[in-house]
Amino acid sequence: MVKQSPFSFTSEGLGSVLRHYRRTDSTTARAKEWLEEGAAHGSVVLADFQEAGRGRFGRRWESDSAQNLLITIVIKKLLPRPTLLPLAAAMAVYDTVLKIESTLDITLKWPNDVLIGGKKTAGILIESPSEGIYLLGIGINVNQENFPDGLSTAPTSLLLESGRRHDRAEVYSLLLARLEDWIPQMEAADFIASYTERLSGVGSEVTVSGEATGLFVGVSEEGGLILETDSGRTVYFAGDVTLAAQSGD
Amino acid sequence: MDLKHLREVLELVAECDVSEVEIEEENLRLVIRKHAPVAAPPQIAYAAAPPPAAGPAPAPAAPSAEPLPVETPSTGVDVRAPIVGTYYSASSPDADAFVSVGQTVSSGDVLCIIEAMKLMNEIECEVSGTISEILIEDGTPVEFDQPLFIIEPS
Repeated sequence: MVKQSPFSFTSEGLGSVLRHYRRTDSTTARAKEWLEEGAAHGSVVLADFQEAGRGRFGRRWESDSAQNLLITIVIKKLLPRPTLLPLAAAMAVYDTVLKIESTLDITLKWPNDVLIGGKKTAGILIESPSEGIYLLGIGINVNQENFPDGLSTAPTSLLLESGRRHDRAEVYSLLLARLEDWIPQMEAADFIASYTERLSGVGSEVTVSGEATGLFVGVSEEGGLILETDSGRTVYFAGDVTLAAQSGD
Repeated sequence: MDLKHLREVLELVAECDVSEVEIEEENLRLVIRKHAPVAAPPQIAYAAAPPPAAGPAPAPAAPSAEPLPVETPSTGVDVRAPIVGTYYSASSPDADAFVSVGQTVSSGDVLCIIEAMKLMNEIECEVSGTISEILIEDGTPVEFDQPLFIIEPS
């Protein structure tokens, strides 16, 4: 573990305790262990390099060492609508990127991919080992210059899109501040409207998990994708969405 | 306890939503379990002296009356989906499934993951026992309250 970490965030809540690893298998795996030792709400695991970073279906998350922001935050909070947490996290990442580079073409892809110019630049995956406990994993490609060939979705980074390197510690503190803003707003009446403003594909024809094609009419109160087809409206809570202009996950 | 009294007790147990009744009187301990193996008669045990407080009931003795037909519901406990989402049997495609049929599980063990909105909810076992059935395939959608597993409590 790193003794003098440059990452800090002054808060009573998120980020009040940080474990910063030069390299580890997975920040979420470390957070799980920490949880068993009694990690407090807001504890953060940060890694410069993840040996086994993963997304859905165990997909590897490729990341050069000390170029990207890779964290898992322990959230201990009873959430009336936990399915909105991935959306709140995506909005926090979106607003962080916008704060750093306001001229970039940033959008969200349902439910919580953050895209710049239609390319994935951040991934969010949450594990909930039990009710009221969430391990919020966020990876943001900050200064990575090269990505392996053959990835299903073209990734990008803040560096590749803006031409400038960014201080990961700054991205970190901005992100935590925005998470502290957005997580409590999950209960607000206009939360879904705020999320939908940042979302791409609403009003377009989309295909969900390669199975159902229809009009993406909006997002339900629980964060589900509302698809309208000839047979009516269906709400999806899982699935890969393929938009006309984008593909894959 | 006479036969009439015994019949009344058995009828009462059959009608009520209880799984086990234990009655202890002088020189008599009566244990009636509805969750006995299917087709097995209710266990009725007589003991000459009060048995130990804990420990298995003595081997059932032949009841002096013909056992009454007592409804014996499925012995397994079903585990239902607490949320809508996609069911995953393992933490990743290369990992072993959390549980398989015949496996012994304890309360608190992870049985599966249900993903909703990229939120991976680990579904924990609430009873200890043996997995007797897995009712759903990996990667398929689940509805709220859909049965996922049947566990024979230990």
